[in-house]
Amino acid sequence: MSDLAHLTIQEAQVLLSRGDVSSVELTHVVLDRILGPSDTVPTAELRAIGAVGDDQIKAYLTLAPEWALEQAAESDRRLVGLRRVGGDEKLWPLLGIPLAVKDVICVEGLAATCGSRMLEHYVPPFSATAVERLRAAGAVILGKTNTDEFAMGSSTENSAFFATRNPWDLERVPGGSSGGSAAAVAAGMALGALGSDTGGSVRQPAALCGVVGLKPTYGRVSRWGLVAFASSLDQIGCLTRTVLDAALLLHVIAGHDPRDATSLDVSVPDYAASLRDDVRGMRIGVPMEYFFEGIQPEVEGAVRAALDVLGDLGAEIVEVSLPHTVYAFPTYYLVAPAEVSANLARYDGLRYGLSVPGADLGDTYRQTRGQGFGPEVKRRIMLGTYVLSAGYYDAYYLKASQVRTLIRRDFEQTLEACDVLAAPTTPTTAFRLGERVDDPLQMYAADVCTLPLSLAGLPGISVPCGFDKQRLPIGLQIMGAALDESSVLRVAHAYEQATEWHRQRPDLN
Amino acid sequence: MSAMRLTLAQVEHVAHLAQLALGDEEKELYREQLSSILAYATALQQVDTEAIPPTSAILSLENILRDDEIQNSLSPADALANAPAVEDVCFCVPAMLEREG
Repeated sequence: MSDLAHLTIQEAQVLLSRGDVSSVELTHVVLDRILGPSDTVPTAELRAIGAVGDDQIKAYLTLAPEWALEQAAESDRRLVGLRRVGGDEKLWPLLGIPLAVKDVICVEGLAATCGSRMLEHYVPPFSATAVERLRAAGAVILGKTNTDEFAMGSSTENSAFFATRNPWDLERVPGGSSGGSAAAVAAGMALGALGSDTGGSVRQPAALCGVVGLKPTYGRVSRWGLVAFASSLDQIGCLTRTVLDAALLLHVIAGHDPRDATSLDVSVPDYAASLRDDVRGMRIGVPMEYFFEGIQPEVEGAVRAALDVLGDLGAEIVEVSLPHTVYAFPTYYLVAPAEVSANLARYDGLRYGLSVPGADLGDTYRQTRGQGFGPEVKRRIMLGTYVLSAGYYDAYYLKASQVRTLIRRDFEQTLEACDVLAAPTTPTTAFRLGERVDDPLQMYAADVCTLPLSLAGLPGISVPCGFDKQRLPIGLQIMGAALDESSVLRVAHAYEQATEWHRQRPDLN
Repeated sequence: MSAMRLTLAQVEHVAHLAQLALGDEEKELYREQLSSILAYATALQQVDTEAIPPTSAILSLENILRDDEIQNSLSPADALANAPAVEDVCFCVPAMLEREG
């Protein structure tokens, strides 16, 4: 039975539509993985803060077992109807599939803490467009997954509530900031999940947890209902067990939304239909700058071996150069904090969230924000405020914005001659809990391979490509041109189908 | 721009601009950490950006408008549901001005 929890979305669709398993059964199995087996399902919503049974991985912040089973029962009624009287199954492409949602994405009626004390008791009165689309497609929402506070971090250790653990080694981080979503998918605690990617927060934890993580083009998925971190970078993405599943999820959540002025009004291809088992005739660029000194040799080895596989599958592999890659790291850590300092000004203790009464209005702001935000969020607000302040704007923010243009141009020029680019997703495999928490620059370095693509606003995916000596997963990153998720998915899928890495599972009790 | 260390007064000024109450230890920690992050960022000064336009937004979209029609929005009760202090259909905020007399 517990194998049901490790089904891919596509496998579950087949079993559900044949009636071999019901959504209630499937949802029960997944809930049992999270809560531990029990005869009774808790009736109230559970806050994981000390309450949810999963004390091994700690993937969830909020679980909604009763609501999940209601959604599953509703799906089952619809599935029975479809089998009995027929109908268009395509109207509900995710019917009965239990999924998780990162806690920075709003689900109406479920707490959206964003991993912060500031929003510990915040319950959004509306759902994100991406969540509405999942629900309209028939998906079952299980609950909200742990994240670094306001998605700022690379290990999920910046959550104000607790750290999530890597299912492959409980002493190591799952990556971040979508670490809860990545760990849940790896551990059989959701068949797929939504995450958000600002500088690598979907791809990086996917690599560290041995799952697939897709970051679409900036503007491809509506950000309505995604709590803002850095608005020129934020994008909702998905974490799944296979590339096909990522294609299925993207197809549901992508598309124009009038409520998000930055969402693009362009057609959404049938991503799953564009997947092929080969990459014949495709040219894959390998940017030399991603194989720098300091990269873990096993990571480089696994990625080089993956490139050989893609070559055997018919792709032309060419070395390319993105000369401004090395500047992405400092550029990102000026641009993103600047946007943070503006976006997080909204937390004023007056309309929602924590409120700490002070001597006057100004004191209320300062006490609320001083107590509500954790160390990393405050660090970025301070940094962003500094680089935007009088006398420093040109030297820091403007300079970084100009270098960002050069980083974009590197990608644009290279992707004129190549269909996609391939590189490591992370410089190392999962690091130990606590190892980097006291050194911000060390922590930030975990995203060094994912930041450039984010600054350029382009789509990318991480797909499992091996393990290091300690059996920690390694990710291969495929990067593509604007709105060309199809090529990214095609190359990742062909690689995945030619290898067995995605079938590996962590040993958990 | 060469690497520089922030002074405590600068940290306090930035905290004031950002409306953040910081303890003494936090100020010292951020003085250290912001200094080292900014020192790292001086690497950008090596890049020639003469005549390079800044990228502040990725998309070339502009002037996204919609028809001036009434659309569904939150009810006052929903909009106020998460507020720390409410009176009637208003958010309560501390007084901005002293009462005269």
